[in-house]
Formats: sequence, C-alpha cells, structure tokens
Amino acid sequence: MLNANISNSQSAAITLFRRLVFDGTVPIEIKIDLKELPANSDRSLEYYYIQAPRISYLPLLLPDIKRHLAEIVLDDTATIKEEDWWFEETGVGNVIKWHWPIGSLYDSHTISARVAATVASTYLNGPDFDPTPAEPLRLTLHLASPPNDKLFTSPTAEACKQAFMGQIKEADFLRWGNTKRVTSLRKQDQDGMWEGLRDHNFEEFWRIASKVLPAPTVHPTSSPSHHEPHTRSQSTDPGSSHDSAYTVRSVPVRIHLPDGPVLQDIVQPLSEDGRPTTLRDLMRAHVPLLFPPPPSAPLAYAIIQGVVTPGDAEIAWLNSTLAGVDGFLSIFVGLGITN
Amino acid sequence: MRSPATLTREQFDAACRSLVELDISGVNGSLSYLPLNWMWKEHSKYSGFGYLYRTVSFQDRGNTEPSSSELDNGGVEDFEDRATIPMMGSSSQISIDQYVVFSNTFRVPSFYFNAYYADGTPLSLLDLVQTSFMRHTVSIPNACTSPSQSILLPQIGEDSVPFPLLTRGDHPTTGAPCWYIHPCETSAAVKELMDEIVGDEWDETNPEKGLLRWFGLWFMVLGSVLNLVSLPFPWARGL
Repeated sequence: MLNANISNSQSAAITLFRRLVFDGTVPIEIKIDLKELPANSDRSLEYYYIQAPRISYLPLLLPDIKRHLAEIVLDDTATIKEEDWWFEETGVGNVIKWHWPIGSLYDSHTISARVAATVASTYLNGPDFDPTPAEPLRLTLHLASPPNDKLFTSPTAEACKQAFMGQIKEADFLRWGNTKRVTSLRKQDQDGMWEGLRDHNFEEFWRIASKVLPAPTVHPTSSPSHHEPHTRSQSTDPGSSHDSAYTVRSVPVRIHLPDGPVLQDIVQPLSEDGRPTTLRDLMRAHVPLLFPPPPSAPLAYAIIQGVVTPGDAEIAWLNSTLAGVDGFLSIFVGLGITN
Repeated sequence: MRSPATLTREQFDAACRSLVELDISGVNGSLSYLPLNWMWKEHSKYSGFGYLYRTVSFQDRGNTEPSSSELDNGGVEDFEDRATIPMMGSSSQISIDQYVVFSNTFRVPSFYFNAYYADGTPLSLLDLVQTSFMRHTVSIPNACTSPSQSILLPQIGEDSVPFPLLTRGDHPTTGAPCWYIHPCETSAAVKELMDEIVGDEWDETNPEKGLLRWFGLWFMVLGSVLNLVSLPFPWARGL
C-alpha cells in the first residue's frame, strides 16, 4: 500500500512505528469521589486501574469503568447517570477534557508534573531525574454536577468522533490547503476510520487512513516550491499515491508548553536548502529560550507519544509515523536536562 | 499589490492593536461599521497568544419572527398573537463574552463567544439561536434536543454565508470551552471583497486600504450571521 519509492525496510519501519503508536497504552488510576458516594456504597474497592490505549478517548472507556467500578461500588438502588460524570486530576484539580486523546492527557500530565517537581527541587536535573516516569495518571471520578464552563462536550462517543474527524480535516487542510482528501472519502470510509480506532483494528484503520495521511516517501530534489518527485510529476488529484509527507505545505504539528497554551504554526517539511526540518530546528525556532542555539545545551526536552525524542528526527517523518491517529504530531515540552 | 487572503500572526496582532486604539471620532464612513470597545488580552505566561475581548449585555425579547414548527411552543403563525405569548427567554438580560482570536490552521481571525443569562447560567444551543444575537431564524432539527455540538447556520439568499458552522471548541489561548464560528471559508470571502474594494492598492498600514480595512470586512461578513452592533437592537432580527 505504500509508495514504491520507499524501500521495503523503510516501509517496515513506518508500519512498526505506526503499530507502536496504535497499540501504545498508559496507566490510569481511577477513584470515585468519596464525598459523592451514597451511604450504602461498598467502600472497600478504592481504586480501579486501567491500561488505556493512547489513541482512545475517555468516553469510550466509560462502559468499562461503569461495569468494573461504579456498579460494584454503588449499590442497586443508586441510579447511575454517566452523562453527568466528569473527571478531575486527583490532587491537582484540573478538569479532564473529554475530547483529548488519552495519550495527550497523559503526556500533558507528565510535563506539568515535571514543572511542579522542578520548581520544588530548584534543579533542572539531578540524580533521580526521569523525564518520563511510568506513574499512573490519577483521576477522581465525579458522578454529578459537571462544570459546564470547563467542559463543552458531554461524554459521548459521538462527540469524540466529531472531535476526531474535525482534527483529521484540520490536519488535511494544513497539509494541502484544502480538505479534499478527507471529504472525498466515502461516508463508509470516514466512519470506518473512527470504527477502526474505536474497535482497535489497526489494519482497518490504516487501510483508510493511508489515503489521507501521507507516507514519508523521500524525494531528494523536492523543495516546498515545486512538488515534483524526481521520478514522476506529482498529480494534483487528492489521495494520489504521489502525496508525500515531505511535499506538504505545512506539517500538522502542535507544541504543548507546560501549563500553557498550544502552539501551532506553519512548519515546512523542508528548509530553504532542501534539508528536512528536524525536531531540533523546530524547537529552536519556536521555543528559543528553552532550546537555545549551540553551543548551549537545551533546558527542556520533547516528548512524543510518551517518549523523549532525539533532536535529529525529521518532522515530516515524525508526523507520518508518530503522530496521533487524528493526524497531528503533538509535542509535549518538559523542563529539565536529559542526557 | 493586492490584499492577502490570510494574515500572519504579526498582521493579526497589528490589526487588533489598531482596532483597540481607534479613535471613533476621527473615523469616516468606511470604518464606522467596525464593532468597538474591544480590549487586548494576553496569555498570563506566554506572549504570542493575544486576542481581543469584550462583553456585551442586552435585554433580549427573543424571536419576533414566526417560529418554525420544530420549536416547542406549537408553531404559532400569527405575529400579533405571538408577541403576546410569554416565551422561554423572553425579555431576559443576556450577556455575551466575545473573543476574536487568531486561527493558526486557517490564518485568519476567528470569532468565539459564550452567552449567559443574568444569573450566570449559560444559554443552551436552542436558546442561543432564538436570541437577537443570531441574525436569522434557525430551525433546529429534532436531533438537537440532546446536547449537540454544532449547527449549520442558514445561508442568505444565493450567496453562501462564508462561515456557516457554529460549533463548540476550546478557546486557543485560555482553553475555556466556547462557541465559535468555523473560519474555514473566511479568507476567500474577505479576499474577494478586498479585491473589489481596494484592488491593487493594498497598503498594510493605511486604515482604508490595509489591515484595518481587512479586519473591518471580516467583521462585516461575520455581521451577516451575528448581530455585532455595539448597542444591539433588542429585538429586531433579519433587519
């Protein structure tokens, strides 16, 4: 299914990374807010742990949480209304967004926790410094009174699907200046992408997604201004197998700053001299105080899908392999000096 | 030189600054339709995420046009009878927090807002589309009675409204949930108007032919969908 310009070993590597992202999971600990438990509840079950898929969304986990936690803890007389449920990060207080992929919720927590630890210790590194500690994301489940000023969706699968499709289209727009590749998919294929995600079916998801998420076919002579691979002229037909991650007009990237807003800007896959833009180039350009020019060492690190990513990695390649399934490469910036 | 279809972050910031500093007494006809009283706000920790903000309050008497049959009150046809029937939301004090933010994906301004009753309760989608903030009657399909995240606003006449989709999203700077008008069609609409009005004489810093004019046309196009007049008409819709 991948363009013949990629060698077999490159194509195997691309599939491997996509598979690792698709199957990646993060640990989540859930407890119900004790103050909301009615009198006859069983309080012996305090915490429920889930190893949750990074690409999934919290609302998709609710049936599981209901069956294995809520129904056990609450007695038969309690009415369970999942539409009123909401989550808060235990001890931190921030309301958890329903429409963010679980991997993003986890990585966002990792970098915020690092800020807190760095501020507390006043060191940017130390003997125990671990940029990606494997501790669970601790959530408190509230059963009622969702704060509507902080949450705009109700916890439904449909709302997540809409958010997911919205991101796929935005990413498509960023790459090509139009959303034709997504909108020209038959409805059953558009739904099929969501179903592949929801049902955790890698083959089904990528069978359709590869039509809209370009592979990193390498064109040494490509530059942003003319899109002609050295072997053949690029068709402007959407969905053409001539699409390459290196010929997009902007790579869909978001940089998450600790406790901050999300930075998004035009990111060209190749620089003026035709060299592929690297993660290091991107961070130096957009977060220069944390990633100063040489010979200074960086004061922060970039996490992608929970992994500290080397600065040499090419952004176009990263978007093609380590992006979330919604098409965006989400980079989380953590404070600290790694070795 | 012709007008750009999209703006850079710097151009957006400059246009916003001009708008905030605009001395209305010195403004002539072509800019007098700009909605006013905006404040520039920045993110508390990071620069480069600034946006415009203002709050508008008004007494709303709701929909004065004949309702569509989907509305709850049973589809009253006669205008005079309608005006005497107390409606949900009739004569209520409504506040609308309004924001103009920069869309990084589409490289144009994007309009975000939240609407509240006097007691702080947010308006539901159904209530929102019946206020005078919306220019035209919107009929909500029955599927909308459960919480819905977006609706297509109606088009005016033959020319399609360039931002038809009203939907929920996170404010790009504050992260708070808001309603926003999807900006995907904006650049084409404004560019077309700018080319007609300014032609080859684009000059970024000239208020009549540059960024402020671009911004003004953006507001004008938005104003065909939403009522942005600073002292909004309390009950006139579609006028």
